[in-house]
Amino acid sequence: MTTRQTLHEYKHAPGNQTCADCGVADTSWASTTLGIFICVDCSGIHRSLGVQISKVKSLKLDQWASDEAKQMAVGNLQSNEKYEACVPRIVLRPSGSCPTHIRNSYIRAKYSELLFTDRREAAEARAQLLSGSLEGLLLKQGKSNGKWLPRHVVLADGTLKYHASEGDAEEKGSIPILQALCTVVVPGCDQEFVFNILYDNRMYYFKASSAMDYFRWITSIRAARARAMGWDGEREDHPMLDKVCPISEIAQGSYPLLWRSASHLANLRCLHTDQALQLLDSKRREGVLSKAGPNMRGMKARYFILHERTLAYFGRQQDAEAKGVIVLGPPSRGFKVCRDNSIVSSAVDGCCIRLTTPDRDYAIQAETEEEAKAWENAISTAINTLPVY
Amino acid sequence: MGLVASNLFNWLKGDMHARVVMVGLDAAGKTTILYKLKLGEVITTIPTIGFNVEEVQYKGLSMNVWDVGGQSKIRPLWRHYYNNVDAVIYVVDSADAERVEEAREELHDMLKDPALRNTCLLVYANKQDAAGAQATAALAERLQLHGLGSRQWYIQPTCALKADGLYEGLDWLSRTLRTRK
Repeated sequence: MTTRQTLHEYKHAPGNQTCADCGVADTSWASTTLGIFICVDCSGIHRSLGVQISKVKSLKLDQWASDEAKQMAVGNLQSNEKYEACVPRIVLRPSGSCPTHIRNSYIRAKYSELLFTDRREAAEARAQLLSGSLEGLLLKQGKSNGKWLPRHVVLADGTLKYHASEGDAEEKGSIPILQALCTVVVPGCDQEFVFNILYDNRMYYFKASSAMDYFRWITSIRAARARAMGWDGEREDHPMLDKVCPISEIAQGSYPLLWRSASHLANLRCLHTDQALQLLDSKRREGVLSKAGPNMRGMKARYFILHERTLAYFGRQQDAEAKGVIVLGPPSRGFKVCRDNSIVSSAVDGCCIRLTTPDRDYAIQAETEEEAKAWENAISTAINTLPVY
Repeated sequence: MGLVASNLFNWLKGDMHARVVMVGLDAAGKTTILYKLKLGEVITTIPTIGFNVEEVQYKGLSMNVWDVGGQSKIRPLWRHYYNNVDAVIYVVDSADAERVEEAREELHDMLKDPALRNTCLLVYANKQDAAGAQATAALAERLQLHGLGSRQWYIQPTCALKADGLYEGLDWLSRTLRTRK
């Protein structure tokens, strides 16, 4: 059999029609050291692992020696039996359109760290990740000046605390992971290894130093969240794990940037425009409402966007920065919505909505009664029925 | 006198333009080097099918750098980028011991092209941080750089991820091109 025939035969063996790492239907690249077929995006990451771990060749653009072709006998199924022997469900796995750093960190964890194999060291490392506690240095973006400053970050008991330096007893800030309703998400591709957390009307940005560091943080935070929701850290069939969204849903929901407009998302290079639009069409409502200030006087026009459990309001529709973000929690945490005219003196009959949160009450007024009803329904659905991630 | 001095100054300091082609075996790090030089950032690359071209400025030297994909079947396309080239940057994965032979063959084949007769050669011995990376002296030997006759060449150890060595290489390139023009 010629080299070309050998390759052709292996490429059409079971399991080799989809990428060994991300599962897309493109296997035009291969790693000869591992004997696997991969897609072009994953091949880029494999090339950065070094030739000792993975030697990448193109099925079309490279010439193959016969011994190299023979190495492909392994195939994706057999390789993944070893390298993906135990992948905890909490781990974010790459998919076709996932952000580069998810792909990058997963492939490194899989082949450089051998994290999902059945070696004893791997099992220990996995147990550490699933413990939901982690400590180390991250860069955190300052609230006002946007500068990245080193912070000693400690994740323990479901809370992420950050300190100016390791020895400091006082923390500079503290984020309860469960209350931070938007889960760990991935912002634009322009900043590598950044994750963000939305909590208490504020977006926190953290940057890890490497792909593996990033992997450890996002996995640990997801584990901490699942544990805070009652996961025991072991059972892979625990119902709570369904709520910690898999990667496919990262592309579908829970981006905190969702409250920006679709064009903004596309501009920010977070996503392609069509993806952004797709994200924005579900469970979403937007429009101009007027809102009272904290003292319940002086109604001002604001552009409101409701997406899942995030209600944000902007000075004008095209503003990038929201004036406020209300993360809608469940009724058990004191969230409630109703139509109530008594809340502001100048209320138009039937058009005023009172939104109660643990911090304060909001008075929001629509143009017509019909519109007010629609907003009340949408907000009420978010509060009462949407899952809390 | 003033004019002479100013011409001399411009000649010494003045902006110079060069066309540079950057080639090497696949996965040597060419695209990573190009964007590290251009943006100062490490980007996640995918294999280059075709080429990337960027204008890179360094100390008054403005370079038009062409980064051409290195998979074996597309290497014959390299020669289409040789016209009017002032310098060749050849990138080698220092840790890929098995393919140094192949890298040597491609390099020497390439330099036979008449269009490259008068170009100088900068070899980036890349991935010096990787396990098993060979030192430049050994690589120069195995790439048979000493057999290049009158061609001006220089081998520079680099780690593109940290930008180590990239600018030292450009310093040599800049000096060499200046003394020629």
